[in-house]
Amino acid sequence: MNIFVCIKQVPDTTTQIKLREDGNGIDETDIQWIISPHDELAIEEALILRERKPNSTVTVLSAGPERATEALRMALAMGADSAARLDIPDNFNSAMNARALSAAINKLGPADIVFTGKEAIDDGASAVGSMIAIYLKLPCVSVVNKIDYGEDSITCRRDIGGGNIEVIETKLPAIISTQVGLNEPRYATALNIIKAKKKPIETITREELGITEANQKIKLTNFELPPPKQPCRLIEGSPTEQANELIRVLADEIQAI
Amino acid sequence: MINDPKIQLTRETFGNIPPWSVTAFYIIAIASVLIFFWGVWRRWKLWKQGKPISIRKILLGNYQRLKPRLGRLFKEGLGQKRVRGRGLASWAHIMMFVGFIVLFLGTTLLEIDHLATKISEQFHFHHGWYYVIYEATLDIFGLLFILGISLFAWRRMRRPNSVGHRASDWTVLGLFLGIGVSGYFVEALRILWDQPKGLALWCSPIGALLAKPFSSMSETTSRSAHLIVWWAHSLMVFGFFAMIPFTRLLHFITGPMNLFFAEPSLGKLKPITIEEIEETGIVGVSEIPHLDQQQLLSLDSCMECGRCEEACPAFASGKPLSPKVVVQDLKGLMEATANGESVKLHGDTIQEETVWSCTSCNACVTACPVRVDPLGLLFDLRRDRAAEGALAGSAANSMRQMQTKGNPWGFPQEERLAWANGLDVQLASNKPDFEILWWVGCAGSFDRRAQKVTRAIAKLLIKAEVNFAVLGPNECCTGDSARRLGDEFLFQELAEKNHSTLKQHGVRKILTQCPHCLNSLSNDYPQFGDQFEVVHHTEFLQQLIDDNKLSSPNDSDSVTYHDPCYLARVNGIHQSPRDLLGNNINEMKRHREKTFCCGAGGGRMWMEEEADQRVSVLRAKEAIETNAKTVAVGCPFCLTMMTDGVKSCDSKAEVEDVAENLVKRLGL
Repeated sequence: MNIFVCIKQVPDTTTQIKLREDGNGIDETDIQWIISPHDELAIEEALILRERKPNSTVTVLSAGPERATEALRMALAMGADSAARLDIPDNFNSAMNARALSAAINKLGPADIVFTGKEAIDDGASAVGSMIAIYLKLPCVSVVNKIDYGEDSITCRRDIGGGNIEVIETKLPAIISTQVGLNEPRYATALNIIKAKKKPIETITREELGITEANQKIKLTNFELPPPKQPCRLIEGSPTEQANELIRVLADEIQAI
Repeated sequence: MINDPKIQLTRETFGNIPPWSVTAFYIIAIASVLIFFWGVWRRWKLWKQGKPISIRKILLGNYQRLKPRLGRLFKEGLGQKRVRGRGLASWAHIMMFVGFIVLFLGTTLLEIDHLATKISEQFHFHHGWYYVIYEATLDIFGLLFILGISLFAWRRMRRPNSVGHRASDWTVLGLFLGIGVSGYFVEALRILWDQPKGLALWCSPIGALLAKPFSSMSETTSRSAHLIVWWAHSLMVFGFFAMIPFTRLLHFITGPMNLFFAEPSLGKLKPITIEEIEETGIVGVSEIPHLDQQQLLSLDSCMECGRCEEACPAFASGKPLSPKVVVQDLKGLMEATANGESVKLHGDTIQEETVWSCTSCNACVTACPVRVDPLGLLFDLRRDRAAEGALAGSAANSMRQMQTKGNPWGFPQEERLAWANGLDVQLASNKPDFEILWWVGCAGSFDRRAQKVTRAIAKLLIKAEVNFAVLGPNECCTGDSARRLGDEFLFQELAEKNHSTLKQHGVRKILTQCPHCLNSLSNDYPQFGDQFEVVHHTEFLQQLIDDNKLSSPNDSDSVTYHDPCYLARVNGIHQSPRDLLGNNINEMKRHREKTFCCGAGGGRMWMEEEADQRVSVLRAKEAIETNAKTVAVGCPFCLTMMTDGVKSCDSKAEVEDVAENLVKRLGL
């Protein structure tokens, strides 16, 4: 099987985000970059599938600047067979990223299955997976937390809220976007990282992908940090006093009830 | 009497045995010896599957290195040092062992005399006082031998769960009993036809007593009975000898061999280098030939006595790990591999869960009478599993944090000194003339509860005017968990980084409050660089009191002390914390070197545990049973685990570090 995984490099969840002086983006100095956590699930699922299907290969793709190579390196350290970076400018344009990733899959493919995270935790757009499906004209099941693999079809489970579960069967090839619970991403040891440094990472240029300025349809105009959190207030006293005070605060002070 | 010509103080060797029997005896003897060597050679071939160890180097290397090996052979082999400590079973073994050795030496001496006499009558020494002492000694030690066998047989009938059992065990015990009892009957029947008198009779007291009820037996009858029983005895002896390599008796050979060849390394793991891996392509152990020959030999020295299993916290808490079973399963695989069967180590033989269940408490390592090292085996397996991407979940997260942030919680390094707010604590870079470097550790720096311990220690150090400094943001995780979770190279990266920081500040002496840091710095780190003098805070604080730099506190309220594995068992530090706690200690059943793990070691701190499989609860119950108001600990991980354990037992006992207890009693 030809298994593809699309990943994005994002700032670590514990990073204190600082804005650029011009307010038009984030300050990248001191940022620790990681693979977006849902994309790690996608890599893990690809590796699990490879173990089940003999003669399979896992190719990992990431659209982004030079630093995205590090994310690809981690994917190789986890066990992916090959990796390619799509050299397009860093952007918050899901359509352009999806277009580049689809072009790369067409170039390196054809794919039997494509995994990607349900969203990247930086912009949280949740769009790229579905968009790739449109560009590649393939079925897409999103936010999947369980997959049963059949001969040439797969059965996916997704939680759709209200405690309801949706089960979707689709023929392959297909695009799957992964949700927490699907698996537990494996740990890449320091040795695996050292070894991954020796593996080549291909760079595909924007010309090869057919990406032009014209694809850049979204322009970001301003960034703002969220307002600081309100301090906590502890309500003290006996349970009755606490309950009364809570009702008073909710009713009178903030008029929530 | 000794000079009385009528009383011969000797007996004829092979007396009453016709020449054809003697010839047959020697033929069978040779056959038995051949079968023995063939059996041992078959096992030898199994061990040869492993990575070579240089026997020549070990035997002919310098004497200083040979000395501890010989020491183990004498003290732990002949001296049975590690066999002790298991009540009646230990005594049964020692009786059997001593009895066997004496009877074996006796038989050998008799044979030497027999052969010597063949050369010349003047070499004959089996007579006179020698004969008297010889006979009496063998008679008495024979009893010891039979008593040992009987105790073992009794125990095997009501077999404890941890003791392994095979059908051949009854054969072996039965044979031993048969040899012992028939030996006395041969003696009694010899007395009946030979009719020795006086001392010549009574120097074999058991035989003499046994002969008494049959005194009316005619000489002809006693002679034929003697021949029959002698043959039975001889055949059993040869049967036993031939059986050694095919039954549990194999440990006669492998036990002492393993004591000799073992490389005891309590608290240390074998380092590997990138160069080695590039050369061999092997990271850990995923098949039998990846283990070394000594490790394979050790598998064959396991008797399934089950001491390791009884001591194992993973087993006690219902996890799928018994050190004994791991060793036995690997032994089975060693045989299967030699037979060319395609059985895999991981998955087929040892389950993933088993490999990760170990808390690295070292209880099994110290419990084994013949120095099998199940922990070393498991950790070799872990390296392979980690390299193959088997680590996932919460442990994987902690390791990623260690990789990127230098601490398992993933806090920013700049916050390492947050605990010291308002205290006069100096960085080493600002105080180059410090005498002792305080290694606070990740838990002491970041864990909310452990920070309180850190502050308590700081107060004591400041009060005693100790000239100390800390590394703050320059301190990194020692990598203890990384090494023990199988990521050797993350550990080596961290060790290298810390080594260079310590070197940069010219550190010689280190104070630490975490036994895992202590073990890493004093046992793991010298493998890659400098050796430091590392002291635990309990030792250091006790020294401050001894030096009158801190006043002596009053006795504490009733307190029990939980010994951390890496402090008490691995590094032998268990008196100082007790001295600090005073005279009101209610000891738990398992304490000092025999302590029982809290469940956090070996990287288990970072793994989820099923609620009904928590080691901490077992230990907390033991602590609560002492009725002590306070459960004192000396390790931040034990602090977390014991606090959780005590809480889940609905106990009001307070869990605190020895240093906190001291601060309270000194009123600081």
